[in-house]
Amino acid sequence: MRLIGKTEIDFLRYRRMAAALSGLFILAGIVSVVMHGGLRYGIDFAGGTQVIVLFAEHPDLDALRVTLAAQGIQDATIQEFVAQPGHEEVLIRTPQTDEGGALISEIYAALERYDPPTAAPGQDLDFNAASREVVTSRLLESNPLEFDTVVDLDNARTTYADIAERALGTRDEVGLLSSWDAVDALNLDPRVGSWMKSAFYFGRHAVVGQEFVGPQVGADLSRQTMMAMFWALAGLLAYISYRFEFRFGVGAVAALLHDVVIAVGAFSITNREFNLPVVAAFLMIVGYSLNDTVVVFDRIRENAQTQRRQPLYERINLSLNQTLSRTMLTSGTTLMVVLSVLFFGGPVINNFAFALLVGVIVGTYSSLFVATPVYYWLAERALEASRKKR
Amino acid sequence: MPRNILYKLGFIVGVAAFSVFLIYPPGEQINLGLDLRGGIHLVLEVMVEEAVAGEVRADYSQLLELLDGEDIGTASTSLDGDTGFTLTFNSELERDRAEGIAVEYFPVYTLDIAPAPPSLSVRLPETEQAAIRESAVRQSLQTIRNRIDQFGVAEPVIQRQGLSGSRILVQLPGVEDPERVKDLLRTSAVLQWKLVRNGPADSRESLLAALGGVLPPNTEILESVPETVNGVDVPAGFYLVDEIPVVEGRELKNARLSQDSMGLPAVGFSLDANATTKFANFTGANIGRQLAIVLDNRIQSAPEIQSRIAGDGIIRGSYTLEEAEDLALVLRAGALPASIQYLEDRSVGPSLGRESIRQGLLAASIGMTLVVIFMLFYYRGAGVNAVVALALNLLIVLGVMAAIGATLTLPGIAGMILLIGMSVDANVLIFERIREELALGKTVRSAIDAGFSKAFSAILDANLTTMIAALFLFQFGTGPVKGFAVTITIGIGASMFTSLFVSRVMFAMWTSRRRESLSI
Repeated sequence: MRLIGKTEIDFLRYRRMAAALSGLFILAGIVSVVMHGGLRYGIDFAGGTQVIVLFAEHPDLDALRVTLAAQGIQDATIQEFVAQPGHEEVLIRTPQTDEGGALISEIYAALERYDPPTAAPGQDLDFNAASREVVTSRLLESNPLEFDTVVDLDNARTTYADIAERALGTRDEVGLLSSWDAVDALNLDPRVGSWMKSAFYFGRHAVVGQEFVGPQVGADLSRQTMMAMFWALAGLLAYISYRFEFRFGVGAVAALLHDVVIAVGAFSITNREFNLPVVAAFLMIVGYSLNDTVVVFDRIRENAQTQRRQPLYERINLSLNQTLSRTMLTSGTTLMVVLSVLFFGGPVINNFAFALLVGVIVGTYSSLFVATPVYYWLAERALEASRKKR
Repeated sequence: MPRNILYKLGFIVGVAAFSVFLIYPPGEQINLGLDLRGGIHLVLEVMVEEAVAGEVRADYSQLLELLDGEDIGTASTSLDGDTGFTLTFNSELERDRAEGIAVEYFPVYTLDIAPAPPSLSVRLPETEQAAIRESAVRQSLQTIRNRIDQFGVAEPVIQRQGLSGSRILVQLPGVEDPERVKDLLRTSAVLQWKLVRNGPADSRESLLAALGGVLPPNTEILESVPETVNGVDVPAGFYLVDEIPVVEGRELKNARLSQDSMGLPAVGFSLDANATTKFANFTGANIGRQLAIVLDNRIQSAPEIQSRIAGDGIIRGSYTLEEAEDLALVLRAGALPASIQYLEDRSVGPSLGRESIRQGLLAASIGMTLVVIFMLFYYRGAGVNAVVALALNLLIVLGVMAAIGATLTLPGIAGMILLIGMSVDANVLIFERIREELALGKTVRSAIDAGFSKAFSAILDANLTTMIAALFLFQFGTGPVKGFAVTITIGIGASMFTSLFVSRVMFAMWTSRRRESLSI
């Protein structure tokens, strides 16, 4: 089978059009960044506090916002993270930070007020929110299995820790439990079972993740990221200059900068959040785009040796056409996986996948219409100069 | 089939089998990052300047005491920031005597004298400050390590960030209760026993008024922790206590969970031999008086000394079982030399990580299926080569990750998925080249040879450049991103091996059957 046969496209003819198109995209990105007042930095860079809450029923986000404000958290952003019936994850974030942990407690308190527990008297622990450590130490305290905790403390602890692990493991498989059926199926000792039923209630929400990043960390991270980008580009320029020639290096780096700038712009236009995995994705874009560019350059290098008489313009076009089939195939298979991450990979890496999607498309485009034209332009100028000298 | 192909085939099968051996069983061999298995990631900063200031302040009061003992009067004294202090005297003679004492007792300080008014400025040089900072970080690291050991976490990571920084990274896989852990690590855990001189009073002011408005020398006022005794709430009280403790936490031999006379949780302690004698003599001489147990400058309880106490006792407070356990733990593990501040806290619950793995694997299998179908459809027979190379690729990546103990993170899974898409690239390059050569009318064998040799430079350069990008990612990245870079780097290596070697051997197998056509 063959999707792309022998082609004779005059790629270089479109270089000015491509430059205009790239310019347009870059400009759109810049305008968007300016209009949004900067990039929408995630907690990794901006610092702040965020919790991910799992709800049993679809929460009323406005009511939640009001409750949070009443608890003293006015500037919270609330975002739906996962919306599946019975499994609703909501992300609550505030730019405030507080290393004492009081802020997190306030968010917990607001959640309690928004979604008050329905507990029978004596039930003071939320089974859906309790940690293994807490359940273990409560079991140890109540001691339903009547261990002699003075003599046999270690044994009691191990037994209770095991019970806690089994019971909460069942819960973690599901997310939120609303009845004892799943725990009953474990066939725990009836004394433990009845103690649990007397001590625990089932909350309708649970915090499944919390993050706090101080402002210093964010600043350091931005600096590190810039450093990583800078040195990566410098290293690549050096490598390509060594393996090919300096003009190829400039072409490749121009294409990389082009790709990264457009990808950043795309993040701004779609108002997506710029976080740490996205940086990883950007460096991956650099890697991918380069991969593509190097394959084209390799062909130009090879054709320069085999067909010395051919003018530069034709040689570049020939090389682009010869590698076009491969360029499209690799982009295609990479897009297949990137799209499957975007659609099925879950919310945590969604932005990461989006960055890759933009990167693969722009990276493919740039090796055809940015890297090669820049190289052509530099090489032509050098030829002109040497002609004039003569 | 020629013998050398068989050898190569054997080698490939060996690599695959060895990878499987390394990976199996996957649950235990592959290290999952905190974002996948759940746990707590903390970055904390040791407030090193506090340790410097504490040291300077202690030396300052000690020097003043020494001068007092020598009957050298001062006109005025003041601390200059955190790193030094200035003493002003009434005469140059007194100043010179003071200088002599300072030189003798505090040789590490830099001393400067000024004539009018006669004064002495005492400064801790930068090198000494750096030494104090360094030792504060090391000691904190050790204390935190002790506390976490005592807490009982499997495979914790406790390390300094950077070689000389004051930041400490703590990763605790599988721990779910971030607030408890944070409290546990933050407690300074400076424990002291101090004799009560007066109190309790309802407020600091009323206590001071009872003393005639002046604090007696070498005493201080401390607040007690509110507690509940027999169901009755006892509010915080204020006590006048001796500044110098009778014994201190560092003289403890052991601390453990215990019970008070009411059967409530308490912390039992044993003093070391030296302190036992001191404590026994002191309590024997002070029967009937109150002894305050002070933790981080708050009085936990102030029991009356009923008899001479040897080396063992209990600390009573309104503790829950968990609090008493944690207190015993921090006392065993030792005190922090300076306070700590949390810069970063990321806690992932076990259910969130589980969901991430499930979705990551789903996305990976869908992506991989699509790529496999496409390759088989597009390249037919040669597509089988690419698919085998792809599968082997994944095996090798996982195998190497298991062998070097690398951590698989969520971005790492994404990286692996990406690798699936990209690793066919090398095969595509070769296959397209072979097709070109076939189109030129070459025989199958020479087309394959030419395809591999001409595609080689492109594959090498393309992969090395991607690896350069990944290396920088590793160098500058943190946590999950590092995991991603590692996955990518291993993947590139594996991809070059499978495309250049494995795929080649498979082609050789084809042609060894003397087929004159190639399904590509």
